[in-house]
Amino acid sequence: MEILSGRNLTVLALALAALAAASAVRVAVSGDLRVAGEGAAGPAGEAVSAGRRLVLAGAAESSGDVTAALAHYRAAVAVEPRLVERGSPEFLGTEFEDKVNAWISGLKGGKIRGGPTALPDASYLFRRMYGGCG
Amino acid sequence: MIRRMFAYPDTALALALFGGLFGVAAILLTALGNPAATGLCASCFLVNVAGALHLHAKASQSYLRPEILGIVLGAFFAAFSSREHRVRGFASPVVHFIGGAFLLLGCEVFIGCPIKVLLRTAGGGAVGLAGLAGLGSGVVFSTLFLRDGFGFRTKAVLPEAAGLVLPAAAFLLLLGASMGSDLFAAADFGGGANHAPFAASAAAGLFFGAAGQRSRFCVTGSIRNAALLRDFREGAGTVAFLLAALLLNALLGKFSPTVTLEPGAHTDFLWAFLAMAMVGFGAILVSGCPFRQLVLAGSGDLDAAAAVAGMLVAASFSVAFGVGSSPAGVTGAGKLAVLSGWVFFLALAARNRKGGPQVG
Repeated sequence: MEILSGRNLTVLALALAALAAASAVRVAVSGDLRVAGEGAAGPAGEAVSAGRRLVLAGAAESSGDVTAALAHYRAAVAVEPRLVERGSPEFLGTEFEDKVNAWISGLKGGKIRGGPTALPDASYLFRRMYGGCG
Repeated sequence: MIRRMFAYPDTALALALFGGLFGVAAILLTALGNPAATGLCASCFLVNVAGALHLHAKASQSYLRPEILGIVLGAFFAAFSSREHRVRGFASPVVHFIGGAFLLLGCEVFIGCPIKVLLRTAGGGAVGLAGLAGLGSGVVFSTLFLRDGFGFRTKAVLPEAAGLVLPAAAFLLLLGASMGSDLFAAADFGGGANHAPFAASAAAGLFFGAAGQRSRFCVTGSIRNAALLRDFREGAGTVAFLLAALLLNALLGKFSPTVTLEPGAHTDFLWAFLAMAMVGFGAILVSGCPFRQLVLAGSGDLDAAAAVAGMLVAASFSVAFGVGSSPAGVTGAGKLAVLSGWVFFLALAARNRKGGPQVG
């Protein structure tokens, strides 16, 4: 490690700092600095209330479109996190909890066919529902 | 002999015992109501405390965590009773303030401090493991600079009264919280609403602080000593923490190996790694991870107190500007914070070495 000492180490540190600074500038100009956060606009891109999202999710579920249902549930939760908060009166209930778990195992096992966003959306709902300090 | 082992733990066995107790206490706090894998997390809890003190307005992240106040008080009592309470500082308060702020922001991007890295790994989270790998890499990288003479000016000895301010504030806040004061914001949902009973949290905090002061428990410090000095005694404490948490999780049915279903986590391996690498690197430069800064601050180190102040300010900044990650992923502001932290710590490491000018 002799080579990584003295002036060489200073040069390495400054080169890495320059790389980090350049990457930071890239992030800053990428337009990815919105504070709003979790894709509340949902699949169609428009801002819709959580209640409306739940209606849309129910309709998609009834028609057998699991991918769309999960996308609407995810958007609803992004707007109103209490929907997956067990202690909250807004909690969608253990029935919903069981449904999410069933969707995950069905999508993973291939028993349920879904689009590319279905499993990530279901996993998001799971991660939201079962923890976090946020 | 047993008394000496607890009062002056310096053997691998004693430090492993302390580490194991830390792990057990953290898992029990989760079982008692703290959020998943968050039995003890200095960064998450500091964000909660910042919310409780109205430093940010996110209700779900507001709760005056007794663990944090207990850590400061426990460290103070332990240091005082062992005559190790020495008020010192002013070696680099500004650097510690900014450094502490970046440590917290890095933890917010990963979602957890170095202790929570262990807890997330012990719960089976693959992203937690990526964070652990990042943390270790960052610490090992920092040892290159330590070997090459990185350091701050010698700390000055300061009046005893200056070291009493933070413990006194922690005591008053703990007293206020125990009396159910409505001065403090408190969450009715989300992470802030999930907590163990007040008495259990306060007792655990006092234990973490006192035991942390006696054993010098520090995840990043233990990796540094192993890499730099080939001294594995503190590492025994960290490994014992991980194993105890793993074992207890397995017994409680809470161990579940997963890539995408880790409760409360995101799935971005790269940014988990980079964020914790920055935290590991920076923590060594400013003498400790967020937990260690709290312990040092309680023990009279005013540079560490500056770091704690920086972390509290960063907590409000994190919420206001969307730096913290969520199960939805890492935000642009979070990536910017991690990269800025790297720039800061690398510039500091390049500058503050033997023969070079010392930033204070």
